[in-house]
Amino acid sequence: MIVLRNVSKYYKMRGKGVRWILRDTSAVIRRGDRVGILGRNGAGKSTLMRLLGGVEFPSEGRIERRMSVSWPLAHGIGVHSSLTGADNARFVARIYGRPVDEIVEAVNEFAELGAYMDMPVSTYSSGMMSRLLLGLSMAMDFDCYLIDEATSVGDSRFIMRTQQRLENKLRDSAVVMVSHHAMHIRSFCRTAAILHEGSLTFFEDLDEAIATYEAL
Amino acid sequence: MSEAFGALGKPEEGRDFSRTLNGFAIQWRVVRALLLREMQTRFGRNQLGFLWLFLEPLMLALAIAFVKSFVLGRGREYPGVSTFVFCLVGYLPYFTFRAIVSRAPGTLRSNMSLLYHSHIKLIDVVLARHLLEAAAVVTVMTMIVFGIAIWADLPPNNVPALLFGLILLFLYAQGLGLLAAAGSAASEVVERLIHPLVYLSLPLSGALIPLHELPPKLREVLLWNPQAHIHEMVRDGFFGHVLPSYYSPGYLLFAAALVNLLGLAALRAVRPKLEF
Repeated sequence: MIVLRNVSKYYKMRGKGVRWILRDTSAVIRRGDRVGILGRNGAGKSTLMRLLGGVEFPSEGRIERRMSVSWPLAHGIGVHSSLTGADNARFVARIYGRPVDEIVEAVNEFAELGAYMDMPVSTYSSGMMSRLLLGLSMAMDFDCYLIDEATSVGDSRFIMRTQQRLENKLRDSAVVMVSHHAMHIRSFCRTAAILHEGSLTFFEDLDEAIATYEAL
Repeated sequence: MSEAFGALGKPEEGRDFSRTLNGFAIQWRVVRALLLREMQTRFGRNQLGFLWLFLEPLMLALAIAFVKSFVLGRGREYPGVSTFVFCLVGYLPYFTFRAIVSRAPGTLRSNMSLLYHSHIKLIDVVLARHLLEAAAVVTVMTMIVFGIAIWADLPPNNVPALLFGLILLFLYAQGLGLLAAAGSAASEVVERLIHPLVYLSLPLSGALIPLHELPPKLREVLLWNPQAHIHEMVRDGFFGHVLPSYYSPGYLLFAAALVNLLGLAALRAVRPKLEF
């Protein structure tokens, strides 16, 4: 479970006032949840992910993580661009205390990077990057995956493989995904929420959420 | 830090003591991983890059000592102590001090994305860098000590004093580094001040002048600076009573403990305010 208790997040803007990302929001994310979070550019989707992942701290309120949560998976985040994919896999395995060789093998098998596994990450295309990130985080067996920038999840073949993996191996894991594209949310999520002007509104019905979002 | 619970564990799990132990285990794991990564990114995968870690401070200290003893030709000679060796022994601790303190803010800024992995704490990032610098200076010192012992037939007078001096140097610089990192994360003005302050500390540290040569009043003033104690201690370890030395390990230990505590508190205070 991830529990948000009266969480507020704002940034002080240079010169005048504050910008609100979240206002006094409470929410719970449970194992097995597949939540899509829709929001316009600049609504604070990535900030929300950093809050959920414990990277950034809320301005007010508390966030409790009672399951292991991945780092927010976004382009180039959590990997070092001058190191190879395999080196990054070794590094992440060491950080999370997992067997190094096994993890490199697992990432290789899932991400299908072939010879690129031994190339610096800076040479990767955005599709390869997201395959590496998903491969890395899936190999870590987190209880909850935070997926940012769903726009570059990869081609349809890889989307299918990811969906399959989430369905089978990770049946009771949670996924939180943010996107400004309703389509991505539809292909991975069961419920959705809209982040708009500091408020996070949850919808049980995906279609209703998408319709509301598109009418914004 | 207190939030460092296990990879898959729950925060409520286990008693306080085992949680603390578990926290240390994770911290060690993380610092080790960071060290390995730091070595890879900084030196690439070739062995020459690794060698550079040792050659860099050695060459710089050699160059300064060379300029001072042959070009400027100044400085009084002590029986059995050449200006060359004296400069080397004086400059190397300052070199380490500067490397640790003035690089700490940059270390933090360029490694912010590492904090996306919630196991990695601010302190781990800084600690890994400092350990690498410490390893470099200890290796270089060892090489120099052996070199001087063999070619100049001048074995170090007091190895424990030399070693403790270096350990205290590392501890003191580490504490100031934490403060520098936290300070520059909080304010840009602080960040701009660090470099000039570190350079200004060179003449005030007695790195290149033995305190014995100074008038007693000035010596008293310099001895407020813990750096002066470090340099005197290292010189004592090297040259012994050829050169009377003035230092208090107790004062140094106190100063090191103080800056470390303040540094840890400052990092902790600044962490929730970091924006990515």
